[in-house]
Amino acid sequence: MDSFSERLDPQYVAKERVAAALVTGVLVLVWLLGLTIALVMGLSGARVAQLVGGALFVSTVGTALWTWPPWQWRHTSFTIDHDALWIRRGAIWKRAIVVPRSRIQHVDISQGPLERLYGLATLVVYTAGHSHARVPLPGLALPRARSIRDSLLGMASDTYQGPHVT
Amino acid sequence: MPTAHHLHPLSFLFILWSHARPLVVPALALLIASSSVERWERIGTIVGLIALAPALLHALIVQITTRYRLADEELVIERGLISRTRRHIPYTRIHNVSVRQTPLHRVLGVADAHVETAGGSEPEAHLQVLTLGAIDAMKAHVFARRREKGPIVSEGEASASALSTAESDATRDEGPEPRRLVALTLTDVLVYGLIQNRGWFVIAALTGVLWEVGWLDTSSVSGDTLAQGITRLLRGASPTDLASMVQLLLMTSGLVLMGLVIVRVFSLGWAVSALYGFTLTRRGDDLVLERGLFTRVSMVVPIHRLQMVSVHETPLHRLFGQIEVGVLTVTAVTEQQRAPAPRWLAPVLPVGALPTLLAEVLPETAAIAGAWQPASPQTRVRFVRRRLRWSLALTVIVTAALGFAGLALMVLVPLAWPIARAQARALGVACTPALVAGRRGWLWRSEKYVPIDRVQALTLIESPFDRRYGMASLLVDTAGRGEELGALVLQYLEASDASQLLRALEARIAQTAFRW
Repeated sequence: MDSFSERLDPQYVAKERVAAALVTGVLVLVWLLGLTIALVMGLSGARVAQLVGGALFVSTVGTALWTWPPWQWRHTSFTIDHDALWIRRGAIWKRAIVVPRSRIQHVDISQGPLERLYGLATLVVYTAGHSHARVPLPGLALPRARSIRDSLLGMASDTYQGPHVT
Repeated sequence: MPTAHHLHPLSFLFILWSHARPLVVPALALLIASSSVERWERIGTIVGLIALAPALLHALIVQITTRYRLADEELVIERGLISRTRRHIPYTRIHNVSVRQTPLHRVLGVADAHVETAGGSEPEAHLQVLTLGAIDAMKAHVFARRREKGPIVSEGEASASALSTAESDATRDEGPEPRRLVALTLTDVLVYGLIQNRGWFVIAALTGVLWEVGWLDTSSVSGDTLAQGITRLLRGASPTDLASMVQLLLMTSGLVLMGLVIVRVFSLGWAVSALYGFTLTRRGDDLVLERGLFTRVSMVVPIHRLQMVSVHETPLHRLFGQIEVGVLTVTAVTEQQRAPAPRWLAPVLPVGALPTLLAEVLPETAAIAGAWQPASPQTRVRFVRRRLRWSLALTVIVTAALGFAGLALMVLVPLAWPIARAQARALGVACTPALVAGRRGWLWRSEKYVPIDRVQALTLIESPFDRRYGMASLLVDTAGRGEELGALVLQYLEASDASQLLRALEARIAQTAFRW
């Protein structure tokens, strides 16, 4: 599957890392709260063990969240050809999803607050299917998301000249 | 202007009942709990009646204000007192008129009618309740009109596969004369009940209750609970215990046997009540399905709305020379309730009758016989290894628990090869210009067929285990809720084959249009 030519916007990694930092920050705050309580109540062997365990947990989760976005970016690619939208994702469980243009019911673009900050958008393609009723493609630059949407919808509506026959 | 029809005069009772139904059990519990104090009982009754008043009002309003008209092109339904809504449903968009009758409905000669339209989530019209005569008249009118107009043909479909045009030509020649495809006799229904295991649900619930009540506590007989007795037996009993052990064993086997018999009896009961008088009839391009002893269910499904057809065969099925033909369709789903969807084309069917049935509902299957492709040649190795791992793990666990007697389980090891071979051989994939199909299972066989024009999306999946054997799976997604049948997943394909299949299927899907 060499034909998945397009990558997500590199900003996606930055945006995901900000999200990761926020989550990690909350965890650190919780840990600090625990530390304060322990200091006030007086330290004991069990409490120290709990604090060390907590610190290990927070740092593991933080590291995982920090390293995951570039890994995810590297293993996600997509392409749009005459017939379909192709998305490849997943490093361990690899998936290649194909949504033929003729099966697209509608297309949405959504932008969360962080995504707006980085000028990114999530393209969501809807089909009449069951397990793929909703196929999201996050991490696109907003103009690119718009052009993909227009391309997909243009083919699906009035300019659609009937099925493509090779 | 066609005349307006009203709901049945007793409709308000049924509407009221559907409002009150969720409250019946708590209300009864409340009544029983409060019956010890007379005053409370009276208050409870009054509160209950007050709570029912708005429901009764609503029921009466619906009953009085609902009107429907069978116009030339569309069904028009009006309802509401203050804010009146009028819904126009063009006949060409009506996909299903399903009818439901509980015993109470049957006593009064009425039924609940759901009018389902295109679009999976669009609310269907629900007419609660009409006389059977009125429903028949409506159905006849709707489907006669629809045949005249023909179903909606979306743009691009005119040039769709030649196969489907050939199919509609054939049906046009035969006219709207209904043809009975499947009709189950009582014997067939009983055979279905014997083959299926629906009784287990009832048994599991009963066991739970009995356990709670303490009837399963055998300590009164042998001085031991069943569990303790079995544990002691497994650990090796001393000779003095032998008599009580024999007693315990007899009792256990007696219980198990009784359980099996009861399960079958319940299963038979379930089958008879749900499937009595099951018929499948083809009327033009629609399938009409009817079933049920107490609650009679009748459904009309256009053939082009079948998303998947599956054929199942268990060892018990083979014993009786039968198969089960399941089906996946799209039905309208509202927030309140799910319209009844047909689950079978035939709960049981003699093996020999399958080709005839498939020729009627899915003529594309004719070309599939020669198209089957085997799974990856690595499958056998993968299955052997998996089976070996399992039997080794089992042996180790049992040996650890029971001592060296557990090593007897090593007899499972040589079985790994023939079983894996049979299982790997049973796997198959077929792809014709109009259909994609998969089959699996050695003792429990199943085959699933999905017409290409109904495929929505495809996913190629490579798990880490797949990669070790150079394999991949292909998930073929269709519309409709697949909890009962599951999606079509083609597993254990050679990675390069899977990738080729993905591209071939994608190209074929792109050339067809999906039609709701």
